[in-house]
Amino acid sequence: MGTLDAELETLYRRRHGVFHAMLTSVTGDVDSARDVVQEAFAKALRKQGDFRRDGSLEGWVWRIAFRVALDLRGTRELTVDELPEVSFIEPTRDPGLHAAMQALPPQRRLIVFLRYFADLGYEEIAEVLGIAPGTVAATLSQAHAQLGSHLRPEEVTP
Amino acid sequence: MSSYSDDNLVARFAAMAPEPMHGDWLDVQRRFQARKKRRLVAYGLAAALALLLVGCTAAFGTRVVDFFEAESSPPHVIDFLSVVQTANSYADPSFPGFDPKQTRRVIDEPFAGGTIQLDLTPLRGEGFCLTVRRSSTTTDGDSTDCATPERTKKEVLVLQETDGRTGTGGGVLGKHEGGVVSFIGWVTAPGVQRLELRYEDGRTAAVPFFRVTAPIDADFFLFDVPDANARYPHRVVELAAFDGNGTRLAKNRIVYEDPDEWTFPRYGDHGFPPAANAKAVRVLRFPGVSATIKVAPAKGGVTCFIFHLNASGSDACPRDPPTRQMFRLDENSFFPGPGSGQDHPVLLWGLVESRVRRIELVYQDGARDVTRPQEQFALYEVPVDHYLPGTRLLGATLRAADGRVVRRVSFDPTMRDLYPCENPREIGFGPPVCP
Repeated sequence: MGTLDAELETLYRRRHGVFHAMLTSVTGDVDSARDVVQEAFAKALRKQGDFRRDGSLEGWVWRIAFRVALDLRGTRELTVDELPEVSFIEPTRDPGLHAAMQALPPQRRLIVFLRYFADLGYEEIAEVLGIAPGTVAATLSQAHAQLGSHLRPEEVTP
Repeated sequence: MSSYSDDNLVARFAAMAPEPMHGDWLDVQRRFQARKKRRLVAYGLAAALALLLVGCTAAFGTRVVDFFEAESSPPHVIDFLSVVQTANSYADPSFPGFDPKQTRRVIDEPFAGGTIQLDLTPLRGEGFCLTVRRSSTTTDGDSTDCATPERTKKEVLVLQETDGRTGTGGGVLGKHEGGVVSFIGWVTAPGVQRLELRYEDGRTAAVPFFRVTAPIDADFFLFDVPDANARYPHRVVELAAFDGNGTRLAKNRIVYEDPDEWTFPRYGDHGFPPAANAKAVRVLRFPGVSATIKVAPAKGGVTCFIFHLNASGSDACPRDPPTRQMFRLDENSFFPGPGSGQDHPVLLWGLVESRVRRIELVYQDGARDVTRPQEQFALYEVPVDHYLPGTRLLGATLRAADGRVVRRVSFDPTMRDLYPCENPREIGFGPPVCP
């Protein structure tokens, strides 16, 4: 790809919907989420000198997006203790998954969302949240176990 | 306890995937361009501050400007603010708006053969917009920024860059040892009695400020950082506002990331990072292209490059496959890319595989062209007569020395706002756009 600008544009066009949906659950409304997504990418354009290229571009932009969203909520730092509350599962589309996800602790729920909804890898999630990849793996393992106890038996793997 | 499988979760979340939705990249670029525009004007302030401080330091800190006693702003400022209001409303329908005719000039000072002016206008409801205009023999520009009620809830102390190095939030763009050299801003918290700057070395300094009365009701400051505090480890790291009891009302931190050996310098002479051998720089030139690519060998067999056209471009030291992939010639390898205005060529550039010796280009109208990479870099300028729809670039075939196809790349000839056009549309915000 020619420039980071182009890379960011491609990412925006390809993943805008996921960013928007995810951040809607963080900000609480679609308009704020739209604003956050645009500001996050604009900030990424402005701060592209900060992108070290030793991690994924998408992970870096997600981290910026969460920071922007948290700024909107009046919180300056992104820490594991202040992870945004996410709840993007429409109860009517999958009541079982919605209930199981709601039962997860917020940190665990966010990591599950980043993994399966935002489709980020362990390294990317670790980069976004500023935690170790091992912590991501451990948290997902715990989440799988907890989800197993909530979801229908026929869907539970032995 | 049973565990829920990865595959099951992937399937169920996939069913939750959001509907494809329209996300306009131009909106992002407008935000980016708007901020750049603000930065341009702020740049002018940097030098202006020195004289301001010489002339007005004694007055700052205790000076109170009665907003209604201040002179009305001149017509050109009011006209500018009318455009600003249109642009703000375009970008944000919830913007409260203002009456440009209520704008007052609170600072008008000579500086370096030019002038600097600061105008304020109250927003409907509460809050204000600040307009800064500076002119001199070397630079002209104006900018505006608004303290809306929504923003004031989040930002009590607003610190703006005046040298283009920092973002509004105080973060430094790029990585370098140099720090903030000057800034401007305001505090909306009531009862400010002292503004204090803290440096990396722990020293502090008072920042003069002046108050503008209701309906503005805020304290404003302009500050030129001493030369001794321009670089690590003496840089500005925090500005804080205190009340009469010494209680901190607000603060704004400036975060620096110190450079490493692979970081390109961002300001001044744009050279290579320390890891590269700057004495061995070579310039790659391509037929029919005014832009060039500078390359320099670096540690570990890496080749660092700088690709620049005028003031923008790209640079990197591709040290690993992901980075090389990022700069690989593909369908988005256009420079400067969509939404870049009108006065620029359309360049195609990027890294190609080491065995590629020839790149064949084909256009919508059947026209063909050939370019050859140098040291794995491709750089090609799309001729002006291929800007119009129906004539645009359609694809590239990358071939090895024996003629075998290494890779094919398809380009989207309908990519919006990539090619300059004869009748761009002004939308009052950011650069004109093309269909």
